[in-house]
Amino acid sequence: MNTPTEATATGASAPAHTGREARTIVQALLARTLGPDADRPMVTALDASGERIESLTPVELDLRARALAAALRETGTAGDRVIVPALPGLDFHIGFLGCLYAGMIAVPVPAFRTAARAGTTTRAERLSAICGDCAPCAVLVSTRQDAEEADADLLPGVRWLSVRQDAPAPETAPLPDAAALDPSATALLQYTSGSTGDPRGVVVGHGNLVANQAAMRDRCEVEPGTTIVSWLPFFHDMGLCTAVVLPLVSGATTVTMEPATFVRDPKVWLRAIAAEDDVFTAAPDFAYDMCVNRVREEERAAIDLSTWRVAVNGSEPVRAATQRRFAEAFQVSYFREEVFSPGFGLAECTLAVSVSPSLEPTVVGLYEREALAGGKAVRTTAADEGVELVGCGPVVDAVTVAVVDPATRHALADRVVGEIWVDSPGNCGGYWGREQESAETFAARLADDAAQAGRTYVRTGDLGFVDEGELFITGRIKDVLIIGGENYFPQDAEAVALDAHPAFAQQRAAAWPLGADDRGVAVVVETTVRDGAELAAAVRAAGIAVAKVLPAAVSVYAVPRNKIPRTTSGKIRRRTCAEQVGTGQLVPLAQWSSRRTGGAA
Amino acid sequence: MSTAQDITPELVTERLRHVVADLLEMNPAELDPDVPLSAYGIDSMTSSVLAGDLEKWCGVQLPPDASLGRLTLTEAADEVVTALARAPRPPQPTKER
Repeated sequence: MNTPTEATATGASAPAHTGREARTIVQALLARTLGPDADRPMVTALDASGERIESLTPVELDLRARALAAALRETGTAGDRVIVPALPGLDFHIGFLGCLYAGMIAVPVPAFRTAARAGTTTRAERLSAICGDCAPCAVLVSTRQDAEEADADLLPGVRWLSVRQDAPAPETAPLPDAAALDPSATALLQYTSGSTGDPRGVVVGHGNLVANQAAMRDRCEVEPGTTIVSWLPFFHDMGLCTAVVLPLVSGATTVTMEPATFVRDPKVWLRAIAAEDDVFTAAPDFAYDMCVNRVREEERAAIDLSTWRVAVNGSEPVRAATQRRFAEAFQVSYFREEVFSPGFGLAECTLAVSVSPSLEPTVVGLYEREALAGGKAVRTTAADEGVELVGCGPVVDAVTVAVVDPATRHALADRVVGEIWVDSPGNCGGYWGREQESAETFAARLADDAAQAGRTYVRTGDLGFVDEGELFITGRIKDVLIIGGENYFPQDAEAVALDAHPAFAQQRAAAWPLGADDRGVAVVVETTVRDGAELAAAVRAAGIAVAKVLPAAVSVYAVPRNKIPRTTSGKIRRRTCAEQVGTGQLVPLAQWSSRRTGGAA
Repeated sequence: MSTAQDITPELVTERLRHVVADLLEMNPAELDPDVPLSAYGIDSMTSSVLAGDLEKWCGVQLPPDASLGRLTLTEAADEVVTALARAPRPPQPTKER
């Protein structure tokens, strides 16, 4: 079993019509239009109350994608870039597949208002930065009216096009374009979340998408009878793979809703899960906390989650406490804790690197804090000396992970912390138009290259270790706190600060090292509390708690909710946060420091 | 002069507070007894200075690996009092600093 495709070729239960043999997702959709479920709904969009807005069968989706592709070909040619915003309903599915049918490169971006209006500056800036980077020929919108009303000044020289086009004249160029059936052709540019200031588009090939999500399908046993229920944003790697790619490579059906629907009322997502048999979902850690906080106990009892088989937990650090809390809260809904499948992935590898298998209990390890700081993972049973880490599963099929000393480029042994390097058929071609940077990140070689037969790796920038085949993530290479020559991880300080006082429970925190001469740590914590006395007690409690685990000077700042800068996918931007606190742009509600403030640095 | 009988945790805390404040050039009142000393800048080296001072002051033998930096003022005082209780021999008289 060298590749996921070959692995599934031996599976007798895989009928050809599901597209399991396909080499691109367009080929998978074509196969499905010829199969027995050609006229059954394949994708369904729900509105904010959970009511169905629209469903499309494989035949209908194919027709809509063809119509859009024909219109796109009047604007550009194969290989041109097309901006595909996270449009509502099923417009994103049509828009994305329409680009691929045309042989063009889809560029998913967050939704934005087509007419220039106040309050959208950040998104407009982000969009113009992306457009400057990839020079698109068109931007897709939902309706003709949107296209007509679009502010031409927003993106000069770019055509605005509705995803809803009339069926093309039968004499137009043959569709799908040859590129749509070529695994080596580029399918999309995934602008990575870690680069809001300076967008970098990961070049994702058709072959990358299929290889990566076929591996996901096999690890989580996603079958034609499975329903994928997703509220994730389509412009995000996990959202795109979960709601668009995985159903095509697996033959599953999809139910989608907008992220805002989930945020407004997580019950809509849970009810959509309860309505289907054999459900697969993926979401970041905070989503599960949100369900516990926002769904009342008597409401939980009215939702039957027994059909939920896989809940991938990824794209944020996975916390064992979150999973336990959710499982306990939703026991009344027949939720089983083993439904959780923590995973690790990144856009540079398409998405998935490792995921826990379906219905196996999550591996949680307690590791000595001091040993981890020295780069060794040593199990302990003493809770107060340990850091609880969640295993992100074994690597998926055909993926190899090396844990590497970034200074020497030598592979490290099991249970030694290093940078995670990935060799995978999902590894992408590089960043669009940035060859130098791409070579460093996408074509890294180990020091003993000769023994590796030229194997190249994606450098993830994430630190972690492997213990008994399970991948553990401990932090980001650039965010590490080095205290007295030892490495500490900001997540650790953040978790401790959040647990220190009720005013910080279930909130977000960001920690980073103070200046080199100060050898300390700063932690910013969000809170909804405004009472001065309570805040003073909270920042002190958090400061003491952090100081107990990090032998260094500690400063704690309480800030209002949603003030910690984050990337579009929700990852904390620790360095930006540090700058904002340093320059006084982020004004704390309360602060505590073990050193005199305002005095000596 | 101090003896095992009259060395209370409070007394050790106050003694420590002044030594730490001296060492770090801080106002003793700024030291919160519930904050680990490491947060104030006590590292492994300055921690051994503290331990040495305490041993001279009250005659207690602290464990060789005692890392006072990871303790708070209160915890460090408890450590000293516990050590004194384990070795209840009469402490050697010492000069006050």
